[in-house]
Amino acid sequence: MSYEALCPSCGAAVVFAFDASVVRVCPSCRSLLVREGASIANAGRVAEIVSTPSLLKLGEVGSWQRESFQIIGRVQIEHAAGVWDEWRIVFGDGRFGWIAESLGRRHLLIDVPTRDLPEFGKLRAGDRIYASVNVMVTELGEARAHTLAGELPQDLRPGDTWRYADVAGPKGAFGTIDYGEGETAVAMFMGSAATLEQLGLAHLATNVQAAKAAAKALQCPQCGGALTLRLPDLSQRMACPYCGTLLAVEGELKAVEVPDKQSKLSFKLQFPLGAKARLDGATWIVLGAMERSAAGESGSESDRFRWREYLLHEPARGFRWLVEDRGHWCVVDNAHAGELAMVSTKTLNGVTYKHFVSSQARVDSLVGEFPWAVARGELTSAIDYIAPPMILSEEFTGTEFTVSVGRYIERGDVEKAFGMKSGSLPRPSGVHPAQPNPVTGLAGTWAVAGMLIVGIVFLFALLSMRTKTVYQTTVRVPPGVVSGAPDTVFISEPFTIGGAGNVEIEVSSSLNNQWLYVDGTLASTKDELAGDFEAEAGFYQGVTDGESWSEGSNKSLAYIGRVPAGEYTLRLAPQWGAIAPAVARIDNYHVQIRRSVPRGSYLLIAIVLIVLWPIVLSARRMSFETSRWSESDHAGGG
Amino acid sequence: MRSKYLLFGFVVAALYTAASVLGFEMGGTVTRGPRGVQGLGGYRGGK
Repeated sequence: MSYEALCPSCGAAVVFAFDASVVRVCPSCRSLLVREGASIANAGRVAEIVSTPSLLKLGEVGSWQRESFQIIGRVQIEHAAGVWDEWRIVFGDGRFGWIAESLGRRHLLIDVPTRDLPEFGKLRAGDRIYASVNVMVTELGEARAHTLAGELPQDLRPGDTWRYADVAGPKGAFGTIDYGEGETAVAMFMGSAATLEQLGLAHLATNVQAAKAAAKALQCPQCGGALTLRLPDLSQRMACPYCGTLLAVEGELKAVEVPDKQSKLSFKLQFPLGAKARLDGATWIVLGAMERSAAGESGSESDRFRWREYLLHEPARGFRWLVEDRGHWCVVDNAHAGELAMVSTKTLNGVTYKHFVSSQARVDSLVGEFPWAVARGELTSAIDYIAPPMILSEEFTGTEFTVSVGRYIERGDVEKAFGMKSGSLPRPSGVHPAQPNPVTGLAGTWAVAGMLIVGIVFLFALLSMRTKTVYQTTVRVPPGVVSGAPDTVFISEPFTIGGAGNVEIEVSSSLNNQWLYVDGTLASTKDELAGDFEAEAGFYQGVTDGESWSEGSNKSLAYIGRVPAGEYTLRLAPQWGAIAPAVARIDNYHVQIRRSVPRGSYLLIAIVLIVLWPIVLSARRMSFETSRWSESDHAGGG
Repeated sequence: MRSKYLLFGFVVAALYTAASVLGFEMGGTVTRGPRGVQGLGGYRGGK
């Protein structure tokens, strides 16, 4: 039920549209009117609304999850990073909520009960707490109401301060806990990020160009250099590219840090401020750049790891970073901390990351504009996790916890995005933590599949060979003949070898601590074609120190290659011997000739050749990974 | 890379198949020379 009264200050008609409304700002004279029963008290005038890039308006009607709401009030809040807008909304069923805006993003939050929440002083950024769902504390801070507009269901006045903890939960959940000025939570609001379309306020987006403040041409108050402030509504700090002075953006520019001497950038800007890049389907503009560093092994200043971060902005998508490290590039976006699954590794959006390095990052040098109160020497505890080509970074300041996800991109893609000539950017050196391993494939299933297919070919080859015994005989050694004597020579009857391929000659005998050597010739009966071979068998056994042993074999194999089909005879000249106490004599030996015999040793060579490639590639892959991890906290496989 | 590897595997397998079927031996093959049956003399025996 609405309530209408006259403004005690200017006399204008003022309507409290909702029964629950406690304060209202007179739209005519900006006096803050406070309802006290049936009367209205004037709490004094409130400041004008500060210009922000907000597209929302008082009185607009939207909907959230099929429930309509109306925007009834606006609070402009100051905190360390500047001013942001919070819009009070009321749903048709009387429930209240907020739409909070910050850096072009919106969150719709609804009042929820404050049960069993930790005290403010016990919270740390990055803590996990239970607040109806498991959430992560992403920011701790103190806020101050700057000014108001419209009406509010609580007695909030300009200058009021309160402490808050921002939290992030799974599935995009976002919330804030209001601790008032004490330690105990007095209110809590939970919700999620929401686009204008999701809020049923898409029609307001048509004003996006009008609402976007134009870039401002300014002068550095320190050196008088001409500066361009590209995002006057969002930027909090600007580092003068001429003198290095760090300037606060507060309507005008105010020097907050003047370097002792003319401060040159410690790094070469690869892209000028204002350069445009076409990345991921959008055109981004370079707003600023900074060099950050982390302590190296020795801890000395000269041993610090240094990398460069370029801040990009696109009106519809917000901010992102292009990070350069030793000529390698990553494009980095903020991620929702509440999606992080905390186990020994980290999982975000289905990707599992491995811990790479923990460090303390320091801002060393910067130029251009930034949407937060950045300062030289600013320290952040950073932990990097990798799942190439992705890199996940957690950063902690004392009061803030942020998660960002980077994706490795090739130097050529960066050059293309900026319309640069190929090879304009420095050549990468070393291995970047998120650099994809160039040696891919052949690992695992592909190597197995390859082996299987090749194995089938081998099987086919073996089956296609028709192995056949073409000749066999047992040669009797006449009693009393001497090893190697001419009368030991044996010449076979002619026999036929058909088909094509090799022949295998197997010579065997019943040997016991004896050896048999045969010098042989397979000779054609039709012409002078002949193949020589040697076969030597030896078998020895005995007992040494109570243990029996044996070595050698009773048979020996010899091969002759590419024997044409035809009639052949075999000439064998045997020799034999023995070790004492065996007798150096053999009674007979057996000879068998087989045609077209598969060679196991050749198969082994073929398999080694096939396996060699995956082994070499695996070694190269491992070498790349060793280089990658040598820069991590786990160098040496730790 | 995978297709190159498979091609390499097939080449090795094909070489093996050809060498096996043709009877290639590193130890040597038949050659022409005065060792034909005409040149062989001496003991003839066997079973």
